[in-house]
Amino acid sequence: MPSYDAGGYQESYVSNFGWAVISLGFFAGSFNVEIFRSGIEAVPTATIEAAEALGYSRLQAYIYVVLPLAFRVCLPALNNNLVNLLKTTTLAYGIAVPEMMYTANQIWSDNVNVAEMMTVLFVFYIGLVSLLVWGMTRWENAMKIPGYGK
Amino acid sequence: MSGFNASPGPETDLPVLLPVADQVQHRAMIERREGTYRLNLNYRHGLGLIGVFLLVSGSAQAASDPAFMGPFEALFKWMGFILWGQGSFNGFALNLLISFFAMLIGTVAGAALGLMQVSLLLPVRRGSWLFTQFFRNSPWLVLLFAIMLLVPFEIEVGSVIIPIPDWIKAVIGFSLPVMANISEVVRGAVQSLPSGQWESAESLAFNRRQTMWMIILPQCIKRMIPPWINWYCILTMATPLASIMGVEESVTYTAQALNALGDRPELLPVFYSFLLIIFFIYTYPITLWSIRLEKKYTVIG
Repeated sequence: MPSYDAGGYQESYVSNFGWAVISLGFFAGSFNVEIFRSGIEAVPTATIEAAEALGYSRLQAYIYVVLPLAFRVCLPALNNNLVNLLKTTTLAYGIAVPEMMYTANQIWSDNVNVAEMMTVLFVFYIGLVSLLVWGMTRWENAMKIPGYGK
Repeated sequence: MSGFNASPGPETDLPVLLPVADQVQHRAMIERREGTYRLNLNYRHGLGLIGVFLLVSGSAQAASDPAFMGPFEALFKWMGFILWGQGSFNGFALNLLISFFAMLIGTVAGAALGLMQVSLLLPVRRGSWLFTQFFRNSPWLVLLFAIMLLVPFEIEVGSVIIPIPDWIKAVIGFSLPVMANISEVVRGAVQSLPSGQWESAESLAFNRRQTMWMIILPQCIKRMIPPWINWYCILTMATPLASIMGVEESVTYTAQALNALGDRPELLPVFYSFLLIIFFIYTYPITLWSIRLEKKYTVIG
């Protein structure tokens, strides 16, 4: 691991937080690749050709025609992935990232109140997940275009 | 279910979106109900893992000091230790043991909870729904921690002291999220059957219990097997979480083996990619089987 001399001890260039972001990013990203690929595949070539016939460049056709359609197809799958990812972030505990669980651990190590801190963790996580799911459902509904199903 | 292409008009040569769009949406809804992604492994993933393993082993071979053991020799020496411990049921064998028992408890409890979710009694239905959602939406690690830290390490029944080893606590910790998700799978399967099944059973004078056991559940089992197997694979892949709590399973033993080899950084990727291959070898055939069953049981229409 690349590191530099931080005055007497070796400090890694990428912090534990950084590694957590990178590894979880790969984890979630590998699912998202598949989702985006099939979302873009769902747009017929005829639509892109029609956009080109109207004078759109390739990039413009992508930005104004393909992506808005593909994104609406992908959104529910992406949201599933995001909810999963939110719950997976606890794993950062394993590499000593000071996230919620790690902080709770510090508190219960000092105050010997494991049961109370566990309750706090549960309430916070379930609150977070519920909030995310609520927001995402609202977003999905807001993104619907009349006439395109449902 | 109406999708993007569900227009009442005739078939068109210029669809707004191709059928892939419906497949993506349908899949997302299934994954939402089942609470996880569907594993879709193929042999290329295995080849990729073996490629990574060979790459890191080669570089480890080149980086090793000739005075020390080479990566293949070290791995061969410690392989037995990682797979089953020393004369005991530890290492990877303990991962499998935890996954078996957690799946067993999770399935039994989840089936009961799922049936409670389709109960006619409102308090039972609401209560079991709340219970399910609680365990479904909590992170696995938080549940594992709660059980590992809050369940005592031994219980006294009269004068007998029954010790509870760490791995048993891990089993309970893993069975909770599995229970909640299996509960949703059961509920989803029961509710996915057309109401005509219930109505025709009623017209044949079946009571509710008879309808459930003789008509609804036998049809549900087929629908539940693929997600159930998928959950088993996800659970098996989650068992290394127990290493954070010091349960002596494969990841803990890999770390110990690396430690015994003198913490040589070049050996680390070799050992962990070996572990990835072991998990792949175990889950791949199971996933294949699940995909085959899924195809076989898919109801068209």
